[in-house]
Amino acid sequence: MSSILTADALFTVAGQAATAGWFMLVFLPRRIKPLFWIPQYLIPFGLGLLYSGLMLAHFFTSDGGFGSLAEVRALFENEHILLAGWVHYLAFDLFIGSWIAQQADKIGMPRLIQAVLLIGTFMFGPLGLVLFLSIRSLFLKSTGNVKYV
Amino acid sequence: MFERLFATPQREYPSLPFGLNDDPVTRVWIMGVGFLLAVLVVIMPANYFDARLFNGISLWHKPTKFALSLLIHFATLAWLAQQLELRYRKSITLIVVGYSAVAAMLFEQVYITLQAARGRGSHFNYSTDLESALYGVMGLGAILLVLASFVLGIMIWRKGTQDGSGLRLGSIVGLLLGSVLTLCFGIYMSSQPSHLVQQAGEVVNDAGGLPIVGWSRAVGDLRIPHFVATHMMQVLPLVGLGLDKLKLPVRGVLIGLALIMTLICVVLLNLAISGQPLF
Repeated sequence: MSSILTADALFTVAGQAATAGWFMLVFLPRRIKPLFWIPQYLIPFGLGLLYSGLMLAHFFTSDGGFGSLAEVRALFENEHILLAGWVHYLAFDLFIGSWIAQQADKIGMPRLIQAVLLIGTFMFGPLGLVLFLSIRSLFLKSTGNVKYV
Repeated sequence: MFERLFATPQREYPSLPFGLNDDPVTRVWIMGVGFLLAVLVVIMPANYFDARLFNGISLWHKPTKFALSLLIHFATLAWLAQQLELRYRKSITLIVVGYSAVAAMLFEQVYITLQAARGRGSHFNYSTDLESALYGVMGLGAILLVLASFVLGIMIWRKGTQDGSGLRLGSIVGLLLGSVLTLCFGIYMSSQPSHLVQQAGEVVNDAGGLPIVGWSRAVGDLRIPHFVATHMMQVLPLVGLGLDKLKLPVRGVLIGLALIMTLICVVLLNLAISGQPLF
């Protein structure tokens, strides 16, 4: 890899892209659809490409694997695979965050509460997902729709 | 314009649980209830994985108790607000006060939970500049939380259907008295160094407290009067509802009960200040 694309530099770029996506999810209006496509599809797609490149280039030359905790540890001793693992978090968390935002809109959750859930998902992905799924469970037995008043 | 821009794209939502009538305030309160329920779910496993103690008890007790009690608070608000007609539930006063209370709840619950996870105190924690500032913000949050119940009490009194029911009277007295007493006890407690009142030389922590509520069995505990005062907001409406169902006269019983509970609060406060445990 060229000297510009060090693992550290890529880490910074990926982190900035993900953060921008989260910022859009939390703060920007949802009525302008294309604005929502950026965090929902574009940024996860770009992060996915980065992940694919890193993984395909380094996974098969590393000693690690997915079979045991020891193998996973060996895997992450490779700097580029460690970076790929981090990019995996970023991509999937943002995609899940967009799904949460979309579903939260469907149940009419105020943006104030959405913001807390989204920041929770940004920081601790699965924890935010569990929070949202628990809230949504309140609406499983909803009888029909009501008009927004 | 601003409101339209940030409104969700859908104009139809699934109906609220428990057959509640929809409006922006009830919806944000019920979402708050959902959030607190969700917090209880995510901190459950931490109880099993985390053996750390704070003041002698598991550090996850406090966020659990706060989530539970805030959940009861917002469920009560959503339930009692149903006595108001839609146009009052949609009123700007209730929306501003209702949203502020939810914002305050989100801050309090998130901060208490994060501080627990960090193994640090949230209330009575002056150890860093940031933590003492945030403790101050929590005080402001507590005021916003009882402001919502107080304003709702006023609105039920002034704008609710004047049907003379026990539910109505219980709601008004419970919300107003409960909010005011909670605020008084809260302010007093926050002016003290701890929720425990210890005599000179005593060093006691929260270990060995009562199950669930965690009140001290060794020294005075200022949380007890606060608890009784706050839960007047549930007890009085529920008793009023019960009297309605039994077709009993409501006025005397509810006013009497309110006075007795206030008296109990005062006695409990004096007991706590004198350093005596209740149990």
